[in-house]
Amino acid sequence: MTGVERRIIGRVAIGAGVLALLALYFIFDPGRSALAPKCMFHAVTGWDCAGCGSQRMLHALLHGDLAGAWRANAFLLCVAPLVAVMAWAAMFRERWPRLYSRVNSLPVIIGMGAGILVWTVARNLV
Amino acid sequence: MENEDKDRRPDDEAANGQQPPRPDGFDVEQEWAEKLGMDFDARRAATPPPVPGEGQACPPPVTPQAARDSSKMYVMPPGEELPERTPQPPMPPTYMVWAILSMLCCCFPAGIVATIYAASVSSRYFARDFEGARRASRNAEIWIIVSIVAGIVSNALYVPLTLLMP
Repeated sequence: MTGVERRIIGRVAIGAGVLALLALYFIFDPGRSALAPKCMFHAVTGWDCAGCGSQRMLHALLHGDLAGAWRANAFLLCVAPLVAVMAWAAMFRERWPRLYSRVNSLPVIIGMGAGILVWTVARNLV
Repeated sequence: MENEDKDRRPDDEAANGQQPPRPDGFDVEQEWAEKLGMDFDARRAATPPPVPGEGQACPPPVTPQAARDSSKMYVMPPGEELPERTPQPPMPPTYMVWAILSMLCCCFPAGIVATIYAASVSSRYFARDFEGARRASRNAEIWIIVSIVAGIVSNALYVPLTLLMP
């Protein structure tokens, strides 16, 4: 098996895995299903972490329910396109090095960190 | 008579036989050399170093054209090489996306540590702390793995518990 073949098979496997995950989240509602992974931080402290509700958000998005997605995790709904761009820049780092360095620049990182911090504190206080 | 005593030079002390005779005029230098523990050769001091004259090679004056071309700014004497500048290594991977995902999906505390390390990679790199950036990248990788493992293990223990207890 050559390197190119291995890379293609790897990418197909990852794509299949992602599709399977999306199918699972489409079929099952994580809020009601007992088999969905739980957040340990929430189980131990009772507080919502920054990602709590992300599974319910994905389920709502797959069914086209934007309002439900916003109720589940508003911050993640807004930031998901930026995270997708960061993942894209990281995957194609050699092809677009300027995009990679801009996405990892100081303003973006400080913005993300501050946003996560503010969201985590605010959603537990309000 | 009193003036002669005041003007008495250390050479006169040498006449007593305590120190060897020295060429005239370098007494102060000799004293300093002895105080500092250095060698002082009066004969070498007597002949001054050669002044660059017409016969010697001088470095050519820097023309405005050469000043713009920074590689010609410093003209080395022939036969010597400038030391090589260390090349800038490429930025190590930040693992930022993985760190954020591990924070949101797997284990919040461990993911926070991973995200902080991942964020510090680029800031250290642009501050030219290449070794610190490499170490931060490695630490981010480690804490991402810790977060994923903690998430899997905790869920493997917790979900069956919630299934068993109504």
